[in-house]
Amino acid sequence: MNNPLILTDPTGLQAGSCPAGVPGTGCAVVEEVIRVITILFTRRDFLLNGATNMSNLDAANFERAQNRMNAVSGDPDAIDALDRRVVGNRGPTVDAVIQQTTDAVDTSMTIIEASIAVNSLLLMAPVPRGSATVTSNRGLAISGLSSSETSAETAATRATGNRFTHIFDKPDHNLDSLVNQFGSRENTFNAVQQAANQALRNGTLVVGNNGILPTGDSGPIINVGGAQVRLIGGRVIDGTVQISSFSRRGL
Amino acid sequence: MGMALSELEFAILRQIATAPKNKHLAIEDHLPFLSVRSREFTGVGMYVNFEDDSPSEILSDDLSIKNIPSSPHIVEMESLRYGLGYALYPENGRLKFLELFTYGDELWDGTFATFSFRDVGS
Repeated sequence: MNNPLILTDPTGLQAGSCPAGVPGTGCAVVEEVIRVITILFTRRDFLLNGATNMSNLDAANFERAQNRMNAVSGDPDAIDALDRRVVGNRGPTVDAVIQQTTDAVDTSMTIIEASIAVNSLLLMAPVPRGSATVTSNRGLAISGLSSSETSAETAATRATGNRFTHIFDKPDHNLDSLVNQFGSRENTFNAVQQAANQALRNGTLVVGNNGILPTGDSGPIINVGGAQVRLIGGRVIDGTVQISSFSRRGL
Repeated sequence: MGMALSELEFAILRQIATAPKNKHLAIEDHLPFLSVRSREFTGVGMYVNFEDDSPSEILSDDLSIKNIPSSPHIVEMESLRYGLGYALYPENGRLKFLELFTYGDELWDGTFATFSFRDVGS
């Protein structure tokens, strides 16, 4: 099934889906960050593009805000330039702008780091065989599973791995000698699968309603490489046995 | 003392215990003394490992490692297209563990809302 996760908010945070202004929630924080950034952008645009009569105070505030941002970003020259003798004594307006800018930068860095972390995690996600891809853009659009076929293939692959775990990780099934004989779990499973299909063709494996094999000690005992193996559960689809579990316990 | 059996586990054990083929195994006599030591989820099924504190009077040689009782049913639930199969593993007269497994490629995380049994013959 194709079910890509698409986040169209440029911040990658889908702020529109947050309940408005709920104190103490992540959504409230995100909305506040976006509000502050919007104010700063508006202010910047005014200072850079729209201001025809910029006051000395505005000019000083803008310059010092830039210096403060550079200092926060780690520029040593900017840090030196951030002389408290200049910043001080400029009144609450200067401090408010600088503080607001600093907070916004800090928050933006957090957002950026979070986005990078999310993207990194997405890139580390296992990519199934076939045409599946994992990509990202500014909106964190993910194209993980490109078709229902690929999704089914992934599920089947996972089920196969889990099936091996289910059968072979249970010591009570007493399968270690069989695995040693065939060299690996996969080889052993395939050998049992082939023997079960052969028993089905020979008519020694009797199938119940809906293709379900008899279960438990009603399950047929088949010969696999000279060893007895009991089919604990499975079903027959299109003339092929799909094994759910088998065991050598008690044999 | 282990955990209590879930509704599903208890229902499966009752289903196995009352299957005609298993009457002589007296599995039902063990149910009051049964608790869950651990559950192993495998992605395609589950193993439920029991603590069977049944008194020695009801322990039976029939509940040996050679028996793997089950019943001719599958468990149907909404999340699984093909349902669950199951088998019970006794040892030394006690009930040791219950195996649940899916059919085909179906994955199961061990959760269920409602379930029912369907006779699939034997």
